[in-house]
Amino acid sequence: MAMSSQVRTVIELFCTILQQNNVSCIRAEMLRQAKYNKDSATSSMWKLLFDLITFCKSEDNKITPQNAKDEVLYVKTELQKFGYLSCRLSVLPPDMSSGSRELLLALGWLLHQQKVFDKIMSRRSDPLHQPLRNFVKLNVDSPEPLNTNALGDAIFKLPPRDAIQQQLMLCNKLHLACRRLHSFSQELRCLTHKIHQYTQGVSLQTELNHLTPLEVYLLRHPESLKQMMFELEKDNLELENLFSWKATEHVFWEWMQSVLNLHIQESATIDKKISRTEEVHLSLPTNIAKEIVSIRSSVREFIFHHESEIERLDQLLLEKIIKCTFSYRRNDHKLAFLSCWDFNILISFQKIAPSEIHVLASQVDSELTQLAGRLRHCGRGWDFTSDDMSSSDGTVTSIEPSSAALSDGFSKKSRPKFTPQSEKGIKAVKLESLQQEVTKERQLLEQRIKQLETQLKQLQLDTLAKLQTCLVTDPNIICIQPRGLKQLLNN
Amino acid sequence: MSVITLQLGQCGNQVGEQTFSTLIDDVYSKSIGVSSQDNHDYIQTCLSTFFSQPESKSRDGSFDLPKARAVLVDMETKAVAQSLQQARKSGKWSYCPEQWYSQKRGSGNNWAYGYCVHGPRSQDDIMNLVRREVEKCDRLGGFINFLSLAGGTGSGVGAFVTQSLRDEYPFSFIVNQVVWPYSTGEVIVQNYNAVLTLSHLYDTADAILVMENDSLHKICSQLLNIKNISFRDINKVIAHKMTSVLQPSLAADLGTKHTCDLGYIVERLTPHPQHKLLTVKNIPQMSDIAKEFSTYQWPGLLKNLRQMLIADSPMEEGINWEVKPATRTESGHTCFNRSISTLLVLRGKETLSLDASMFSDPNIYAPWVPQDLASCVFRQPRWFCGYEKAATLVGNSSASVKPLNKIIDKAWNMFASRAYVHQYLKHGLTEEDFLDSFVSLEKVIDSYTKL
Repeated sequence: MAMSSQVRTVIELFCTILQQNNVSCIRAEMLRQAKYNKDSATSSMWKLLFDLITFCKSEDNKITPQNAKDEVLYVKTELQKFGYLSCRLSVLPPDMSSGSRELLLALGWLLHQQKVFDKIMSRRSDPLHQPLRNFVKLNVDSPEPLNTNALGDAIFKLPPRDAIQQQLMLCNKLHLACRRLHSFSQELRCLTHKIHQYTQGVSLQTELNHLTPLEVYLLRHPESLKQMMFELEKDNLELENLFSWKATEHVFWEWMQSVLNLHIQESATIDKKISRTEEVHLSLPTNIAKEIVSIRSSVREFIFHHESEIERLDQLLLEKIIKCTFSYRRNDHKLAFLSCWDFNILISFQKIAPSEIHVLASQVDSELTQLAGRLRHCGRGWDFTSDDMSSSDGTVTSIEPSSAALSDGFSKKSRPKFTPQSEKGIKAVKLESLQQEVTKERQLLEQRIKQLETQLKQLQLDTLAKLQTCLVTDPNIICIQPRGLKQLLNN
Repeated sequence: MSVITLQLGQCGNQVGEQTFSTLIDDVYSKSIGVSSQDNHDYIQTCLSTFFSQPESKSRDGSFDLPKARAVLVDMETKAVAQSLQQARKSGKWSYCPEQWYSQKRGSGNNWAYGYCVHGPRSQDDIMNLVRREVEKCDRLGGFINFLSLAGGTGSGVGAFVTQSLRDEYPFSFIVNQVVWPYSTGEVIVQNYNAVLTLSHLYDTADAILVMENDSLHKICSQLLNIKNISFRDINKVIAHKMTSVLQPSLAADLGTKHTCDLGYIVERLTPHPQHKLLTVKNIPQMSDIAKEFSTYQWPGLLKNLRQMLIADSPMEEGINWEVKPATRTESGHTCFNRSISTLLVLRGKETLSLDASMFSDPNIYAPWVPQDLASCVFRQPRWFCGYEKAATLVGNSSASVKPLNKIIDKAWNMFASRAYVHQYLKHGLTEEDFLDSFVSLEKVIDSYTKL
């Protein structure tokens, strides 16, 4: 009984805090009813959730939903945006007829996930630091909100030319009003500065060296101190409430736990009742499919667009190489095997002076680097600079072992100039050479393993011998040896 | 709030000086009709707006005279010196000693010389003077520039300075008070000057207050019974009109009462960027002798004033009462003076409870003007310049189209034969500039006639 009365006071405290901080206005009774899934509490729970969501999003201009349906839809979508993806919440009826416990659970989640009470505390302001115009409540009737709908209707009734004129006029008037506002804010700043200047050296706050406009006002109007006192007391009370909430928060969460337990117990029966007609889904941008398609087509276009350029570059490269080959075909040395991106060309040069090779190679190299750069620029990766086309000592080296084998083969031919090969043939030759390489490597590895094994054996024998001598010299040592070792010794 | 006044050219300096002395005369007027506390507030508001007051007593213990927040500019020394001297002689107010700028040689009634030569040459100095004034203000309410359209300095340098003000203070309110030349003017190129000035001001100023010499002359001869009318008499009428608008008054807007400022006047009167021409009509206006023997009733005054607006009559005598707001000719044109917006300033007895609903009649406004933006009323129970009751109406209406049309026609006829154009071209203006000005003013006329 004591526990339940404690729960009641904590929930009441919860409601008071929400009310005092202008978040929402709800009775504790509603939360109690929501625990037992009473339908009478549903609409107030929706309202509470709506208020809390607008508070969390800190929207100054509170949207006021036109009807219950809009409010439900708003709460559902916003909760999903926060990350509360409960299926049961999303299927609650839009007429606010049932499902208060579901909402209560959502409330618990929202309170924790959005750190609502931390937000409340951080948004509190101290009466002593409020702006002067908040403290001095002038007897000004707040202007009636303009009926924008009526204004809009009036515009639509006008002929288009007049409507434009009116829009122009309203727009310019707004512009002028903004200018006035700007000048007023400048004046406010200027006068505040004057107050600070004239009260230099006097201060009521340790961190300032002057009085604030509010303090000057209080000093000049002692009767307003009463109002300040009242505001401070009110502030104190609110802070005390928040303090005791921090102390007794756990009771609230324990109660929430009991709600959850109840929910789990009864969920089986509830699930049957749910109709899936009103489900609200987190809305994806509607045009996302179109966007994907359009991006895809643009990528394709881009590739097509640059395809011709790449082909042209390839062609240029080929021509260049052929030219080089023809002009130096008298040379004895085989120069290189050029592996190109989508075709392989074998070139061998004969009888070429080292200096000529050098010049040629560097020429080709720079040419290729340029082309490669342009290709890379088009998005086709190919780093040509790594290929050692120009060897400094003039002797030409082959690029890779497999190609070395190939170039060997071709250099023996009678007319060793430019010999394009079918791709298949080149592949076959490549494969063969690779296999050779692999077997060679394997043999080498096998040899190495044998060597290591013998080394290991020798090491073990040495250690055993040392152990034996130790045993012989010192009679105090008792040695227990594994059987395997003995065998080893015997061997 | 403070309003800074720029007096440009000979005419501008004379009108400006006259306006300040009328302001001061009204402030120290004997017949006030309100409590001394209210009167004190009124005086303080006026003085802080148009004058800067010394904060401490001078050495002999007396307060210094209020100093006008003004910058005097002319390319000749005569007018400036005269203004300074007049102010000093009054013994009630003065100009700041260093806040003037003048040169040895005038602009010779050549707009191009003022705009293209004098303007850029003296820009830095003038803007420095303006900045000094601006730094004295807590809040810059705006600028009022006094200038005439006919001459060379006021119009040419005036247009240039207005543009510089707009560049330097883009968020300020700039109101230009222009004096429209006599239709039978003494300056042969006055129409060129007027066209060039107006088209430039239309781009930079927020509002253009038009004072027509012809109608002012009529007021002097018929209402004030002056035989030999001098410029000083005309300037007095201008100053009277300006003061009756600018002196402190209360505006009731959306349930709040606040002292009106220049920005508010601009916001209410020229909300449409294509309609900036304002005319001022006031009632009653009479010589000081007649004032003592006359009494007026509010309903009669307001009725006259309304008809003055509709029939576009400069004064209360000879109003055409035949014009009715609903009449339209067969071609769809209105034969009465249609408005965008009006501002009614009521000063004197019983003003706080006066009903001014006859000015919010939607029939006298363009059909697209929202009803609540069309008219607005400022009230001030204090008497104005010794008048027990005084009403002023500032209208943004098609009234200015007729004189503007005349000026453009004359200028165009001259331009068609390229008369005197070379005088302008030799100072850097081009014929395209002329054409642009014509086009932009034709646009203004067009938008006013289509109301």
